[in-house]
Amino acid sequence: MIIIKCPFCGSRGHNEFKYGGDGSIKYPDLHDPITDWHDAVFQRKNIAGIQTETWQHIHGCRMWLLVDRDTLTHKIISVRPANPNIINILEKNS
Amino acid sequence: MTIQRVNKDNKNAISFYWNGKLLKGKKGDTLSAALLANNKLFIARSFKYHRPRGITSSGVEEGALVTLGKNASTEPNVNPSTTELYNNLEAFSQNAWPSLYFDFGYILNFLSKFFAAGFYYKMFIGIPPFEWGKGTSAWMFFEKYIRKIAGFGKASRQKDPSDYDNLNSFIDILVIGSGPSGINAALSASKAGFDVMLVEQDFELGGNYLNHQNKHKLNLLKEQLLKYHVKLKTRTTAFGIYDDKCVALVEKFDPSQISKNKIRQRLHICRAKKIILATGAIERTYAFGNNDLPGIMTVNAGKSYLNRYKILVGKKIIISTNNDSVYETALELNNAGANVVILDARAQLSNSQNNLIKNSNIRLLLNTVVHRALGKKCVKLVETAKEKNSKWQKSIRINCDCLLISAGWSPVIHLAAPHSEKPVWSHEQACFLPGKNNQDIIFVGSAAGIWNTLNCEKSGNIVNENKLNQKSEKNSVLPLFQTPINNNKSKNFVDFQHDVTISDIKLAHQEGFTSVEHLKRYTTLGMASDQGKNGNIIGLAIMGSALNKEINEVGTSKFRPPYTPVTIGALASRNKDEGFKLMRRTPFHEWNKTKNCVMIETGLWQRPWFYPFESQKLEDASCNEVKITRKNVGICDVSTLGKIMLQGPDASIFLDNIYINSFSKLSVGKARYGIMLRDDGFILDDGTVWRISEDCYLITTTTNQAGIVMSWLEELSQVRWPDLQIHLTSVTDQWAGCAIAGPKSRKVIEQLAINKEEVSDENLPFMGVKKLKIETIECLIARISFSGELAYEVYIPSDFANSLIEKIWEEASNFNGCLYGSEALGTMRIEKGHVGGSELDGRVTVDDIQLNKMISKKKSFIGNTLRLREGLIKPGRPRLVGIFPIDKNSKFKSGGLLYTSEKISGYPIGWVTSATYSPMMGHYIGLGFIENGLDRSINEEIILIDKLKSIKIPVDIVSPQMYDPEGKKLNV
Repeated sequence: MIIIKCPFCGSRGHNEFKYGGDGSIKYPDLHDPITDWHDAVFQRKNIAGIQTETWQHIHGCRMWLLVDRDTLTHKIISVRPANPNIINILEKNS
Repeated sequence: MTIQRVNKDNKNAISFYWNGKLLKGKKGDTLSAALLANNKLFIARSFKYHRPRGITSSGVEEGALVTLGKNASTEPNVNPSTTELYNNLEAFSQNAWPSLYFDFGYILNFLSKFFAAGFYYKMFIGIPPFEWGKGTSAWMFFEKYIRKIAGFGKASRQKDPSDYDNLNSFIDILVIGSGPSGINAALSASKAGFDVMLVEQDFELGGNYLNHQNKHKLNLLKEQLLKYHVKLKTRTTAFGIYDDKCVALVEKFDPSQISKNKIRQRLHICRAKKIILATGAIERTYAFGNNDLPGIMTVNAGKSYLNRYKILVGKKIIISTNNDSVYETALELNNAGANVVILDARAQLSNSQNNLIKNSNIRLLLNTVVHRALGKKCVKLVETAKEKNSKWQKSIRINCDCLLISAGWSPVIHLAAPHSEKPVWSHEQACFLPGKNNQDIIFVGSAAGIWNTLNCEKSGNIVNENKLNQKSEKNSVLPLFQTPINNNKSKNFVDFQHDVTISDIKLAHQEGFTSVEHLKRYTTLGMASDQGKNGNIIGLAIMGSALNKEINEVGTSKFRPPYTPVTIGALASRNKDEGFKLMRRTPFHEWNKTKNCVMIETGLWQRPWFYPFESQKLEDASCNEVKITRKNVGICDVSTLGKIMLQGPDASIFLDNIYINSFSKLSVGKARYGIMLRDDGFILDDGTVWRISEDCYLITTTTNQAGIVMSWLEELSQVRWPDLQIHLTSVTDQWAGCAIAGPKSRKVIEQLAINKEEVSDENLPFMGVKKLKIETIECLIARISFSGELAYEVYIPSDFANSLIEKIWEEASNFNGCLYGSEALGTMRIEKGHVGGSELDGRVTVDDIQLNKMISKKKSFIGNTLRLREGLIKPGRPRLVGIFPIDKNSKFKSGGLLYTSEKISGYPIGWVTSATYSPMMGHYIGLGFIENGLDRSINEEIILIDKLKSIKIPVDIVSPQMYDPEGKKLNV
């Protein structure tokens, strides 16, 4: 089992979390053209190495997180809140 | 063969049963030891050829398997050499009929030519020349007979009566294996202040110390372990190391202590900061003629049975070796009274080995190996081969009653394999050593290729950094994997458990299956319950010599967990029966049960299904519920709907973004039906949204999608639109919900309200929402309808659910009302053409369900762009319709396919998603999707075909709004 260090709850087993998806995607604005939406929703890289993923601590604080994970070794390199506003608050307080 | 206990006292005697016969063993014996002490050497029949098999080891690499227990407690394919003996243990030999001594299946030994490797694969293609390549009718015929005679023990079909437990733990350092290196590793770490757990698969601590004649050192170390508070777990196997140093252990409880109702095994998930693998090494044998005869075992087994169990395995013992590890054992066996001959494959011995046996009467033959063993049910005679002038030739024959083999040692590197680079073949030591691995997984002792006890003890000193990089040491060993002389007359076994022989491996080579992974699957080498602990390396070496390659070039197949077999029960542990999954009960659950409610599982929920009157069946009860609801009034528990409170100044913007229709214009005190899409334009979920105040909404979701929608909305608010000022709270469990539906529902509500006028048509119009006090409790009420009747949903704070539902029910009873369950709810929504979970299956667009008029053109929303993809808007897509059978007496179910009468096979033009008997129509009705929907030609004949249920009926395609299409009943 992978251990994910939730910035709010501490180190927890991955069965407390739900895998989201590709965390590197910047979703277009609701009015943006279909090609942008197509690329954001359907074009995915299949990375052998470190990729950014979204996970939600669904059986914990329910926060969405950005996780950098090595797909070859399952090693987790970093975990941070997906909400940029919260990152700013955390940084200010630390 | 004459096996005997060295000390013949009767202390600690234990009774056990072998094939139904009462025998005596001793406390501390394994089943193998107790069988040997009773002179039961021949204990099993082999997998494929039904050859006599005996005990081959004293550990996990055992080649003979037995069945334990009877009936529901049967445990087949158990390794007797690791099974702890206890009082009244019942063990049976397996794969023999009618009996172990006279086994009919032994005939297969002489037909073995037909059962070589790849036999099954070839049979699948067909029998040449008649069926070659055509099919497998012969195989289909023979299969059932072959399955009967080839195989392992039989599992019981009864439920396992035992209980299993699970446990999670965290530790600084986990030491696996309690031999000389493991115990010392645990002590050194514990002395340095670490929290240490030491696990041992055996029922006694000590590992290889237990095989030593002198136990003094072990006893001292055991005292130290207690003194330094090392957590000790015996009977505990670490069967796998998973990600992030998560170690799976299975702990067996003392079998003599398990009475009924007690826990038998425990799955233990241990997270360690560092893992020390002191897993030792396994002694190998080599392949020679009839090397599977009872009476042939490893030298270490001979030592273990002598020193640990006080059993001398023979009077005339031959030891065949290629390394130094056997000489001490030879001397001990000799001193215990056996006549010992050593055959050493090497040309010369070191002085220390020579000195060891110098003063004994042990006979030593150098340059000699076993070529073939002879005997019927036990080894009697050994034919040797001798090297002369670099050529091997047959040599003398020697009588014996026991043959002990040592062809080198294989470090137990299995556990770390998923986290390491490939194991490295050491030519010098003739074994695979651990590949480069995770720095938090450390090998010590013979698992790291360190062979003598003193050095193993030193390697256990893990705290001293300098010792961490201990190199494995030199070992005088001559690689020996098979008899050097070709031997086609008798079988030379590589894998005892799966009956794989040298000729099978040569056949695999000849047929081109030369890669290790192909070799393994073609011959089934190493695929039995021991996973090739003994045979794999021999197999690789033989393939290597056929290919003219070194073993390191051949490679090794990947070791995967579990290390030794694990009971499924332990893996399931408490997750069975009621514990199989979580159970969610609505706040009305207990009350429902008092009303004779039959529950149905919906996801994790227990949901009211129907309320039978006396012994009514489902359809009768639910039809009754529909009729009463449509005539008077019905009450339904809808607490399972997802409920999400949305608050904040930007709540309206958020809703406009997620729903296809507009919410910002919704006035306070009103509700609206909404549909939300996924990014890709398909429907995610539907439900109602109630505007409670300017910046507070209650979102309801379907039961099944509640969790998914909540998580999705959280993702949107946190990840995509972090600047929107909103807050989401799941309130599903805080509110109990009940629908009150039917023409008399307003009358029921009027009785509940303090002031009747509050709920008049004017004050609470269709889609109106308000707070309503029932008794003194503030509830939420909305006039919304899923059934098509005048209807309300009342949300009651969960704590008051049971008292208020009683009150509501009292009033409804006065109007001849009923309770209805999910079955009647389903029937009514199908009659009305309202979509449910079976329509919104994730492949359906808003256009498909004909609700595109709801789409707001003034804004965009999630899914708005991609719902306009070419394929999703093309004409002719299947659209929602109602389905009537033409013959009103015919029945059909969901899952049926729709065809035109011109083409009634192949890809259908539509399908049925929901079907029910409609008490209002008086016949079966359905909802489904069909190409072009209602725009199809009226003259066309549509056939509904359901091959699974043998249904083929003509149907009419009608509007999905089958009952009260004008919606008059909403406003009575």
